[in-house]
Amino acid sequence: MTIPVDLHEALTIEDLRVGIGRGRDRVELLDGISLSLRRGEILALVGESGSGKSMTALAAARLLPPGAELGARRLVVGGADVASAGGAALDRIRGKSFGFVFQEPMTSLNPLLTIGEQIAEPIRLHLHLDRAATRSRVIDLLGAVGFPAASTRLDDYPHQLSGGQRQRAMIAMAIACNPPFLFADEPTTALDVTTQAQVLTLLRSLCRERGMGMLLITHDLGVVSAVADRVAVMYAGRIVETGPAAAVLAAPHHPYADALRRALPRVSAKVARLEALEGQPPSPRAFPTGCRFHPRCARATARCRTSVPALVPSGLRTVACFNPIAETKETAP
Amino acid sequence: MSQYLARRIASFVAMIAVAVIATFIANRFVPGDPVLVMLGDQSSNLDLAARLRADYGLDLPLHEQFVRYVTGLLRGDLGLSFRFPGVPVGEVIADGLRISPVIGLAALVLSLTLGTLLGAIAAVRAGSLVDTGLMFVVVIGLSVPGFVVATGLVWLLSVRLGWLPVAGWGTPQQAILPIIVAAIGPIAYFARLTRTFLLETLGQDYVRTARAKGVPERGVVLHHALRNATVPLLTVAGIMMGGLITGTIVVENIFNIQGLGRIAVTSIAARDYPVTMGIVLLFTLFYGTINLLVDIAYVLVDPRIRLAVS
Amino acid sequence: MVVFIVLVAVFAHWLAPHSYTRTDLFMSWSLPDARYLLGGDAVGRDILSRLLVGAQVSLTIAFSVLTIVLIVGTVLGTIAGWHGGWADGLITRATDLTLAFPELIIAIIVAAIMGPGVPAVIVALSLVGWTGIARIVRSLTLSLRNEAFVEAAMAAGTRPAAIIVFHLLPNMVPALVVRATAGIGFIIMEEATLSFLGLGVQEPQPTWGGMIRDGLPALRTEPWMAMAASAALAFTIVGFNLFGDGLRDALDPRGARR
Repeated sequence: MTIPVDLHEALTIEDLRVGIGRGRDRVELLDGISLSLRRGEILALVGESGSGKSMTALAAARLLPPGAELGARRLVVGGADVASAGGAALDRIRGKSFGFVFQEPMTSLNPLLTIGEQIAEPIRLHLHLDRAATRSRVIDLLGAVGFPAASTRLDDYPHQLSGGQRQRAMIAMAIACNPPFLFADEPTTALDVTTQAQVLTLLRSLCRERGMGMLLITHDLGVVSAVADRVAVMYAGRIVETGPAAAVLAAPHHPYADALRRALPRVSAKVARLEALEGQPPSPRAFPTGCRFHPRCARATARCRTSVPALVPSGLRTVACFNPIAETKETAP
Repeated sequence: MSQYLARRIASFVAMIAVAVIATFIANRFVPGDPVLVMLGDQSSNLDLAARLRADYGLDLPLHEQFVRYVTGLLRGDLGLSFRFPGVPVGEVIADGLRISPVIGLAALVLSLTLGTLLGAIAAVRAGSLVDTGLMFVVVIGLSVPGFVVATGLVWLLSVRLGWLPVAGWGTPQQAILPIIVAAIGPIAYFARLTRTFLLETLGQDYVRTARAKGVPERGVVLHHALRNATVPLLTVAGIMMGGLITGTIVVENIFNIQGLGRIAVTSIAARDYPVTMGIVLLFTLFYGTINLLVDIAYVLVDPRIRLAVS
Repeated sequence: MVVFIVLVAVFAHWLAPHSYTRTDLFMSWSLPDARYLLGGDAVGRDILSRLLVGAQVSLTIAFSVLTIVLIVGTVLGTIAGWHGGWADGLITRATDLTLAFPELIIAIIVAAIMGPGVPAVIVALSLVGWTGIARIVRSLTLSLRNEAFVEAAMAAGTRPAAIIVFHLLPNMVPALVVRATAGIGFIIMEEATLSFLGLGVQEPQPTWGGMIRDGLPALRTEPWMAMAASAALAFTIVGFNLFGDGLRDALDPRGARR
């Protein structure tokens, strides 16, 4: 049987599972994650810290720390089958079929190598260009990510750059081989607010110009509404709701997504008080049975405690909830 | 950067100054009159006694003796031996000067290469049987003194199997065992630290970034992790030199090699202070210079230091 | 292991089947037999007895050095950490300078000045060892003096000396105990090295390092003495190191790893 390949497909994750430990100590960190993205599309993956957002991206990039076990029915990133690849084959995929932008540009760049060397590395490895061609490509890339006077900054070390410049260098490195897909794991969290906006705009335009799909991981719903086409909400290792970003943000169907939205400060809203989400997200060692959100959910019923709700399509969205927030809210003026 | 280097050079100078003062004190304030010792059964020969006193400058006031000592050192003159009256220290230790650096440097090269290699293997295979085995050997190598290991090796390789000579110096075969024994402690020390630092850098975010770029495992370990682990390793390489000096002194005594370490020990027994202190000064100078070079190398490797202060 | 070694050391004279000094030229390099369980040395002394008494000598030196080092290191470290300023600068300089010399070079200078022997060993090893303790105590003092309970005591008008004795020192004990235990193996190793070189313990007192040295020339025909002393030394050092590691893991205080 041949798996049909969609030429516009940028990312396909089907039934991704990650666990650590054995026997009694076995902990399932990700439980059946499925996501898909087309080229040029931006999907935001949101949730509280510890919900498994970063784990999903690391797992799909096969960058999990040793000890974590990965299983997936299908794992295709940037057109390359990542699930079955190993060793040298994996090295040929990473950096070429997808790029990865990490959260902390300070620690994620090698302090002993110039940014020029670090950006040149994937070009040298995957495109086998000669020295001069590599150099001019690095300069082009630095220009593309908005480095002023790119050719003079090549020999700078990470510590000589500002936080925003470091993250731009990191983005240049991730897109160096023109990959069809990009992971961006909280790319703006470590930056100050004005720089955040610039970097987000940059990422968005790069995706549009290059037809690059992007999985944007963030806990900031403001970021989602600014750049994402679609959004997927994660809770305790599972996806609870997906759909068009604007629609989901305006009227979430899943109670957890709704709670997340209510916790977001809004200039337009007349609400004087922000609603904090009650309780703590559960630890992977003590995930509740049934719907993992039920202990914190106001709409929970007996059924939520015993059975796991599946992700059910409803229009353009999918929702995993037995008692979703009524559709009427969305249609109301 | 210049400030950093100035501080290092200042501490180097301070160290040498302390060594010069300490050796001067050791030479001049030792119990007993060296002249009487030198005279032996001619102790009634007052002319000879006066001449020796003048030759050794012992008739001068203390501060003049010190000035004479320091100016002599600056010319490379370490003074005259007590055990061999009238013979310059430089001549007594000349043979040792041809031997000890060979042992020391060979052991240095051996411990740096083998230590790094073993440590890197253990780190890359962390948690495996290879790692556990290597680290067990390393702990033994660290806790058991070199001469104990040497005793075992000599017994096994020289006495039992007859592969290598038991003692002496001159042939390549005679050099093998001393160099290995002198290097054992430093190899173990360096291997353990290489493993520790490499494991630390392998867990860094930039190593994950390198993997995400598609850098092959070998490149990740060599180009990213090991290169960055070199920075802390350099700082301990200087400290390791102390162990290497100890190792050289010990093996020369085990294998009866007339190097600086052996001469130093026999000179202590013979109360030949100028020779002992001359050797102490040489070792100190060597150790200090190596550490200064390490500090300079440290600056060259790490751009954060190189560029931050300049 | 450690308990065994300490017991042997304490009761060495009682355990030893023979006098460690009595020579019997008929027993020179004798093979192990019913009378001399581990054979005799060059002048016919019982190796087993000398081995046992050697344990006592080694541990006596080790604990003497440890006591001196702990007292000097703690006093200087507390002064540096508490007083700060010029005292801190002076003491920190002194530690750096001491650490700038290889241990054996310091030992050679001391042995040369004092003449080889037990006092020289103790002075030389103390001179090397105080720096480590002083560094730990200094950093502990610096961090502890900002703790709420110390500030509370200061606010209550307690005299500094009382604060140091009653508040600071008890909090340093775990770190110091761990450090000290880890240091014993090192001190024993250094002592053995000095004695091996003939700079340490002198005849007729037995010492493992010296026994190995004396046994080396006879390695071809009579390996007993060098082997037995090597084994005893290795056993003791590894024993104390393992004990130190266990203690560190059990107490896990800050700063003990340095």
